[in-house]
Amino acid sequence: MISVKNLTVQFDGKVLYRNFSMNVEKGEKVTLAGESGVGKTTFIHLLLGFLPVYDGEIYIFSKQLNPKNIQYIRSNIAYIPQELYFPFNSVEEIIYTPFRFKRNRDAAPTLEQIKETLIEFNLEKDILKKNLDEISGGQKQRIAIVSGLLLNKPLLILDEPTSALDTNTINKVVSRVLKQNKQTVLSTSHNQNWTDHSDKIYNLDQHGANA
Amino acid sequence: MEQTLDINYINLFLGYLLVLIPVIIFYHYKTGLIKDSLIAVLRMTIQLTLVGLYLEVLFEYNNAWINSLWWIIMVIIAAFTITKRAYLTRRFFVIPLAISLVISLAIVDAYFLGIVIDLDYFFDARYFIPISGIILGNCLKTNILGLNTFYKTIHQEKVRYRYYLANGATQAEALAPFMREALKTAFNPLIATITVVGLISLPGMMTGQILGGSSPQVAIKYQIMLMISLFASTLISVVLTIIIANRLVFDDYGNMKENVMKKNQNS
Repeated sequence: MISVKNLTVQFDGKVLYRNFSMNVEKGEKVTLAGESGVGKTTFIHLLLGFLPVYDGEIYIFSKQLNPKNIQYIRSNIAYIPQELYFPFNSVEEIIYTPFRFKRNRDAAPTLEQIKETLIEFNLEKDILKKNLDEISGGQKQRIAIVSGLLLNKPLLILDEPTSALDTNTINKVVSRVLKQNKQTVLSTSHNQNWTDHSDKIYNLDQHGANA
Repeated sequence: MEQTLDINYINLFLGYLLVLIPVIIFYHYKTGLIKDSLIAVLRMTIQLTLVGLYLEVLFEYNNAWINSLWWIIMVIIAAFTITKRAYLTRRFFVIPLAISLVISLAIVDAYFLGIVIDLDYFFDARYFIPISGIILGNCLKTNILGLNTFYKTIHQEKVRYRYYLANGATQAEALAPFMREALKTAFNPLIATITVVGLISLPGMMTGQILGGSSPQVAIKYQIMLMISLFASTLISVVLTIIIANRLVFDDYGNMKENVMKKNQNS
């Protein structure tokens, strides 16, 4: 599903990763761990083609990460960034926005599916009608995850998905997200809940400049 | 036709004294704008004097090639000005802007001068130069606002743009919300101007025509056509510039390159 070979990345002369390799099989749940600032988000950006400057090879869905394949790769991914600063007015909009894209249009969920998934994340179904300034950071984070899950792509990438949540809620979210049988899930987190329940953990601390 | 009254040089000098008012106010509030204001007035004086001389020659020969050359020069200056004022870098924007300004102005000029006014001689300096100039001059502000908003918002809201791309949007789909916002920001003021034209502002060309001895009836017809032409040509130029420039501004992965905007936006 994801294969990274001998990845070396340098920014302004500073080495971020040296000879980092990873292999993720279909359906595996993988956590990228490491202290803040070690480059977890940067690594996600590399996989998504946002920082096309590196030495080494990256393959996703058996296709090399290059301009020719980037559309294919991205269209099979659901990605939730660390912080959502969108000028969306309502919760509904967060959920529906990705389904407005041509590639996702056919996969649009029914209202029932949306409500069911919201309940699984301890969110009331009425939240859909709320404005973003009426909900908390933690609720926003869970709504973003719900939208990512509803997209139902082969690969789900979550960047620090539970940073704004309390321990109980993290437990719920982790077990729900990792329950996705067919889906490969790659998340970044230094929370133990994620690392404990993942099939694989890659610790970027061990591959950085100080390793 | 009645001649407009000339302003003699002593009276012109008296007119310049009005500049003292902004200078005093800027001095009082320590805005640091005095130098820029004086340079602006000086530049305006030199530019207009030169243009006055040039236009005399232009009107005397009234030659299609010379007039077109002037038209091209105006477009090129506009392209550089918009690039600079929108805090964009020249290497990505001057050529796309020049191309789209040429196209938009040519379309609207052809329509306005060739069809609406139905000139016998299309390149007649009396029509071709001032009408092209006024359209170009007025579309500067909207272009600056539109282009700056578009690229600045993508730059500042990279997370949102990337979120769209990474969740299956095509580049056009990912850029569409930014285009929508840029067009709204840029065209709201123009639409507002069109809405109140004549009520709270008497537009320059109309005033000029009336001063020049035209009847208000003729002046308003020109003004209406001008506003519509301006609206159309500005919209064409903003959208076309973005479409052309995007081929240079984004890399093969759809990422906006780093050096698209100038850094010192607030200075």
